[in-house]
Formats: sequence, C-alpha cells, structure tokens
Amino acid sequence: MPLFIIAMKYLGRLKSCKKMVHHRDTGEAVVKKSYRARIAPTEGGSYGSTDSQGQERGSEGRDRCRHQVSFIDGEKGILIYRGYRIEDLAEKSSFPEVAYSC
Amino acid sequence: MNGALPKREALRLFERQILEAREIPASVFQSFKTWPREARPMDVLQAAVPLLAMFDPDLQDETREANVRMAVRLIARLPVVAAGWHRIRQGLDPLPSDDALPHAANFLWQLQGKKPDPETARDLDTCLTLHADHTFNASTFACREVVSTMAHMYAGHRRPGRPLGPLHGGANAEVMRMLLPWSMRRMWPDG
Repeated sequence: MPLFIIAMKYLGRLKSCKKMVHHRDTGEAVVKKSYRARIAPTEGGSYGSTDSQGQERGSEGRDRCRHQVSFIDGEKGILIYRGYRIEDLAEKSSFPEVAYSC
Repeated sequence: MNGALPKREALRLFERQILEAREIPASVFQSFKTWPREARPMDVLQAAVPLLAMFDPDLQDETREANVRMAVRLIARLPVVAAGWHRIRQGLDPLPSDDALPHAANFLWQLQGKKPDPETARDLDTCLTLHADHTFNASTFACREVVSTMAHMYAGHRRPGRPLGPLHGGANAEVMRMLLPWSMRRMWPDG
C-alpha cells in the first residue's frame, strides 16, 4: 500500500470501500478493495454538514458531488452501470434487474 | 437503488413489488380526460407525477425504505400513465394491467390493447435498460439539485422532463424522427 494512502487513512480522510471494476481482457466484473475520500470529516468540517445525530442531510454546505451509478465515455463508446458493461446488460439482463441495481 | 445486481430471490421479490404497485388512482385518469388531446406525452407525464405524489402515503417519510417504496411506485406507474394517456387521447378507456405480463410487455399491452410478441417486449425491455442511467447529465443534475434540498422524490422527478428541450429530455422524440424515414425506406425501398 502506498505510504500516501496509509497516511491519509490514518488521518481519517479515506475510507475503504468495495469497487466494481472490469477486467481489461475478459470484461468480467470483479470486486476490488479501494479507498475513497471521506466527504464529511468525522468532526464536522468544511465539506458537508451533519445533523445532531451525525447524519449527512442533503447537499447542505456541500460544494461538490459524485455520481456512482454509471460511467460513460461517448468518444470511446463505453457505458457502464454499476461495474457492468451495457452490452452485457442489454443482452443478458432485464430492465427490472437493472433498475434494482442502479 | 441497491448498488449491485440482485440475486434471483431478490429479483423475484422486486418484480413482484413493481407488479403490485402498478395500479394508479382512478382520479388521475379522470383528470387526464379533461386535458387537451394534442398535449405532448412528455408534458403529460411531467404533469402526472405531482398527481401521483399526492396519493403516495410515503411522501413525508425520509427513510431509505420509504424512498425505495416510492421509487418502485414511480417505476411501476409511469408506464401505466404513459399508456393510459395514449388511450385517452384516442378517445379510448385505459386498460387494466395484466399481472401475467412483465414490466415492458405490460406497457405494450396497456398501450396497444393486444398482447405483444416476446421479441417486441424484449426489444422494449432492452431499450429501457439502455436508458436507465447516463451519469451526470442535465436531467440527473436538475433532479439531484432538487432532492438535495431534502425534497421528496416526486419533486425531483418533475424537473427533468420536457423543459430540458431537444438537447436532452426531448432528444428521444428527435431520435425517433430521425430513425423513422430510414426504417420506412428499408420496408418500402421503392416508396
């Protein structure tokens, strides 16, 4: 693990999460361990605000947001929902199944 | 909604929930009958969402469970609204949903009044899959802007309709307009 990640994790700025990625050759979806930035620092800070129970509410005080459902690259013709290529979903999945996951 | 594809049992339950949520309040169709028949379907759909909101028992509930129930109702009911409007503008009565038919096939049934062949139903289902999400586009941005103020889901859903115009929300109609002459030429090459 790179030293930078260890340091950031120690400082509580990163939290571990699971991420769906595609294998470059086989196209198979695999779950990988990953880290993402903590949007709201635990002790109240500049990003995001929390209510009395420490729950984030809406976009209050937040200056950016992320989109996690899908990934699109129109130039390259890539569309991915939740780690699955659209070609695979179109062929093997159904709309209710996709709606459940998205 | 859940971040990952469902297991078989969860999918069956989800499909069941959609099926059970299809029924829409009769007064929604009653008010449709007073609307101008030449109104565009996208405008009608947009105007119907707040009507559906008024009948939703979970509107004031901010929990995740309540939001999932509302999402299921929206997924289940919007096709019923679209098909119902199509019937009403032709002077016909809306058809009841068919519990034996899955999501896309039921929409075609309620729209056309005849059972679709499996291939057509599958095509529509694929079409819906392709349209399910397109990252942070204009409508998603507008929707998230609204729901980030802790407004309910219906309020967020109202924004991303027709007002976005032919570059986004209205783009589907433009695509159909582009494809139609091509498919005509393929079917009747001489005409």
